[in-house]
Amino acid sequence: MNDLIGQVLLSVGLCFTFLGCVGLVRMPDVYCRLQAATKCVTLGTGSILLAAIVMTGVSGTGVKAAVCMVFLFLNSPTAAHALARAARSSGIKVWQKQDGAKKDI
Amino acid sequence: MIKVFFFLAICVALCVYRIFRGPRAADRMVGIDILGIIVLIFCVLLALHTGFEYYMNIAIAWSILGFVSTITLAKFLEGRNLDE
Amino acid sequence: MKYTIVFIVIYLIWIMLTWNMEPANFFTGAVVSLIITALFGREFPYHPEHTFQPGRYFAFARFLGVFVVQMAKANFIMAYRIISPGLPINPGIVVIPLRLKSPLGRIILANSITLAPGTFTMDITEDTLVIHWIYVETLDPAKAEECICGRLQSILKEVFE
Repeated sequence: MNDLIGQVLLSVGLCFTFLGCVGLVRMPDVYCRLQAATKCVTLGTGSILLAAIVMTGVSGTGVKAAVCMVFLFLNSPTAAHALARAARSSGIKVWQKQDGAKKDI
Repeated sequence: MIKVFFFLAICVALCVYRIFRGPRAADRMVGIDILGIIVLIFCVLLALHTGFEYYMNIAIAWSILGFVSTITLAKFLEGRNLDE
Repeated sequence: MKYTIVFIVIYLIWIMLTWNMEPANFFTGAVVSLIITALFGREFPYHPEHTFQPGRYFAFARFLGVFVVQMAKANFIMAYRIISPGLPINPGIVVIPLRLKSPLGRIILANSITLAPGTFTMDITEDTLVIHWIYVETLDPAKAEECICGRLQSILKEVFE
């Protein structure tokens, strides 16, 4: 039973990670790329770590996966925030849909 | 399990495409950040597949080191106006 | 008091990181935690008396529930935006007011906004948050705050202040 739940969580996590990478290629500007990639890849990795916890239970692998999950959910948005701030202060404009006009921040 | 690794290889290929293609430095950095998280997923899957516990230690250390490297690159980019 | 809390937290993290049931490991962990506590214990908990108020833990559990639901919703919306061929996005930047004062609360609010549907924290100033919104619905700060934060900010105010 635990094995089955683990396999399902693993598949969901891999699908979201793949979608995040597709978003990294498809989105038009750096902020949208950052947004798509950060959200989808963070939830995908969290789901895979949850699968590791469910499949191995209270053992070395499971407890370390829990610690890794806490680190990931604190680190990943912070790194994305630092990148967005760097991109903004280095002067990258926000992409607009209407006839490709650029808008000042 | 080999199919899962093939699936992740496609993700790595998409990230590498963005790293090579990205018009500015910030786009490349986004690609590098995501590539680091995919390496973490590889470590977790190896720990599950082979049953060796120490791959999880590598995953934890890798997540912290990837965070520090991304912060450093972001600070570098913030300091000066790097075009490309 | 302050030092005891820091020591217990660091020792728990050590035990979870090295999941190893030998007496030597516990002893090494105690020594390392003591050294780290002596070096950095002066600064870490800003309000040590908050540790023993159970209401704050219940409020934090409620925050975690709201946050997990929002994160799952965010991922399905983002997956739809990525897959659909016309790219239904309309990005823009809005500025919303920030009323939290505690540093840890501000960090957690910014991180949870990054993982919430369609929004992304770009910058924090003294009393505002600069947010990149992938599908802008309104530019009015009060309405935007209602759309983006919802209840998160009030729950976090309950937890950390």
